[in-house]
Amino acid sequence: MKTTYLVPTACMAAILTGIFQAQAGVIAAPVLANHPSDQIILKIGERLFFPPRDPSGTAGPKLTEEAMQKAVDERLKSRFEAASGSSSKLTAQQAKDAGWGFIADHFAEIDRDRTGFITFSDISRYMAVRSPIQPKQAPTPVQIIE
Amino acid sequence: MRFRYFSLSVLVFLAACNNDHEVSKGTFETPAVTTAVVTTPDPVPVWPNDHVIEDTTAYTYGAEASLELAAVSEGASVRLQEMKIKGHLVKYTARAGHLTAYAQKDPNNPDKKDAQATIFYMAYTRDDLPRENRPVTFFWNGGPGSSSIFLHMGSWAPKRLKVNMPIMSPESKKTKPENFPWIDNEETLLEHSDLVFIDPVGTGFSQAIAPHTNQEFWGMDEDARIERDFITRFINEYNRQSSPKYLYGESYSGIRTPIVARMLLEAGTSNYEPDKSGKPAEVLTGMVLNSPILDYNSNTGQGGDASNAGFLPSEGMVASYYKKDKMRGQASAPEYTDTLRKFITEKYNPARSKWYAPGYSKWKSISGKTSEFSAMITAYLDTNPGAAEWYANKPEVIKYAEGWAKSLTGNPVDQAKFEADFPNDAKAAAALVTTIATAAAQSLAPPSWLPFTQTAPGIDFFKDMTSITGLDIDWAKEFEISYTRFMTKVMPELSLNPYDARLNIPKGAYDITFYEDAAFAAGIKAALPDMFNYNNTAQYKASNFDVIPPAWKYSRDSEMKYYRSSIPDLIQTLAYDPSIKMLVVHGYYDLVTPFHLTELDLKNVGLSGRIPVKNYEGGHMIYESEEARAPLKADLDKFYMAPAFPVSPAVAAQAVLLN
Repeated sequence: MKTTYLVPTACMAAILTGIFQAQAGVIAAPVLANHPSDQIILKIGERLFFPPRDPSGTAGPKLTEEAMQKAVDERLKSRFEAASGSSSKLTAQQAKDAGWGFIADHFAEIDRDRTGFITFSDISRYMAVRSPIQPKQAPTPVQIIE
Repeated sequence: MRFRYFSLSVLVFLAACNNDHEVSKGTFETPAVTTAVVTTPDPVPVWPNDHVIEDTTAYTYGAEASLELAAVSEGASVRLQEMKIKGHLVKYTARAGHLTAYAQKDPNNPDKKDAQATIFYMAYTRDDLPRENRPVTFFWNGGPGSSSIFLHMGSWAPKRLKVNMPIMSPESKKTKPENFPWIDNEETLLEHSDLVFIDPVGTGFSQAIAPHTNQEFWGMDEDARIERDFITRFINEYNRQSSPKYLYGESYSGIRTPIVARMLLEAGTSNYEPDKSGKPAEVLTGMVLNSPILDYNSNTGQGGDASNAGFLPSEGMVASYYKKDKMRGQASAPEYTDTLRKFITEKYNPARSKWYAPGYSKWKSISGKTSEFSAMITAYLDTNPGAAEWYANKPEVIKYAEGWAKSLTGNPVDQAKFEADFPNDAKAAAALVTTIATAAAQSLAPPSWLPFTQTAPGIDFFKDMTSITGLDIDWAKEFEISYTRFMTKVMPELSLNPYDARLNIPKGAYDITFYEDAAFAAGIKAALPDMFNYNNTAQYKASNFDVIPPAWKYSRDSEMKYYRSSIPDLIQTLAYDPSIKMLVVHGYYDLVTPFHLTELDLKNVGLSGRIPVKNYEGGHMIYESEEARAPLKADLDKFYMAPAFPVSPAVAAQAVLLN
């Protein structure tokens, strides 16, 4: 597997400190020892590793309160759909079976009218009260450029 | 929920004060923080017998590695220990061994048990204390690909290796230290909590169980699920359902820990075995993030388009340490870092907005490198006597080109072309990437910058930048510099450790980034038998960086947007349980996960009020600095002893009072 982004750090370390020995003998490869540049000379001995470069080469999205609220809302929706299947309603047992024990544990708090069923709206409202962020704008669809 | 825990704490205080045993100076006025709550032990403490383990299993660490189920056992070695904590004699159990991380129950097949991985852990527990009052804290280091060795052997366990960062012996300036003293830990967190150090799959002695393979668990969500499953198994095995629970994660675990927390809260108590004590279960109580990375996109450590403002206060502190700055004067660290935060808002950001255009930062950085590279290659090929022979060795030259390609190009197409061209015509390949980068940078350069550099505010800004960083450079041309550029220029004759830039050696002596590694490896080798009665002839896998990071799956489950950040998981965690206590801690001299970047990341998403960030006289591994230990421990004392985070009346109203 050709991993051109992370494995070379060790190679580059060797290159830059001049330890890199050509297989053939003792020919030292070209090094930038006298002209240090950012990032090159210090890709030595990483302890914190980064994901590979984005294929488009662009910057990732800057995280804002509104974007985070939207992301969390979407995750909640996905979680609900995974648990409820095609139904718009969820029972405590269904939640538990889907590994969503939190809903089962707090079911009585969410199912205020004691029907034994809760909807996505019920859960959404319940979680909105608890959210640690309260974006000032209404959570209208935000353009997310990735 | 939280209210029950609160009243239990009061009862514990009352119970403790009713006893003859000398109690620390506690008052009934919570949340005033006192010294250690050394509670009265159970009248009939249940201490296990010592138990020696000779583990002969051959753990392996490759991507395809997998252990047969028959070879897996869940024993732990046991050794009873004792120590003095703040003058009180405290007994505790040291255990080391394996527990199986089973997958969550499958409702369609409830009897099926999927043994995913065998996880090695090392735990320090006060078995004499009632479970429902006794916290348990789970620790991870980062990488990904690191075992828990640094937090285990260096931070808050009953004994620690004294690194004494950044003081170095004269020998250490030439070769890596082989040992650090292993001393009783005056700041041990055993005072407040049982401690469990976890080794992720592929580290320590942890491994996937067949038919699973190690690399199945090398991904952001995959790893978090295994950690969740291990913790669940630990809780069930040791009857910790009712215990307050804390997670303590460092570095990459700034990503891991919020995901694990969110998964634990999502699962709730559905995978808990029944608790015979009948005490109410507690899923999660608090989280400590130690020098975390929270968002890969905002951290420009590997380049990119984001602002470097988050790095400037750390650079300022490093320059101050080396007495290269002219701005600090007599200001204390908190005062000076506030000055720098203000400078960023009032001067740096406005200046940067005149300099920045999308893509410009990236291309400018590449263009600088390509120019230097071209000059170097030309000089080498033209003047070095061995150049022809070196260049004739095509496999070596190809490897060399691959090593350079990413930093000289801006996209995978140019990267591949450089790798293909360089072995055929090195100078042409270098010239081409230089042309591409220079043209891109020029076309993207914002027209507002040059005029700014000639105005009075511009000139003053550059003077301030020199005052702060100690770098007397042509800021008009060099802005915006990266932390790596800063490190090479601030003390040019030295190699600085980016994880604690106070640590330095003469250039080329050895790779200072891994300063502690040999001594910590020696430390755990002695600790496993001495502390735990755990014997294994094989070597503990302290780090697995050649294998794990290249294989790590940095993408998330499909519904998880923003996969390069754990901030959505943090928000979900705090929404699931608004009473969870949070603390983030950083060292001033850490240039890899700089403290102000975390402050900005949290501020941008509106979490500053909810998640406090505290900074200390240390680096990435803050606890390795003697000067930082007591203040950091004092803040951890307050954190552990604080009541639950106060919830809003609206949230409190949601809780149904059960009859």
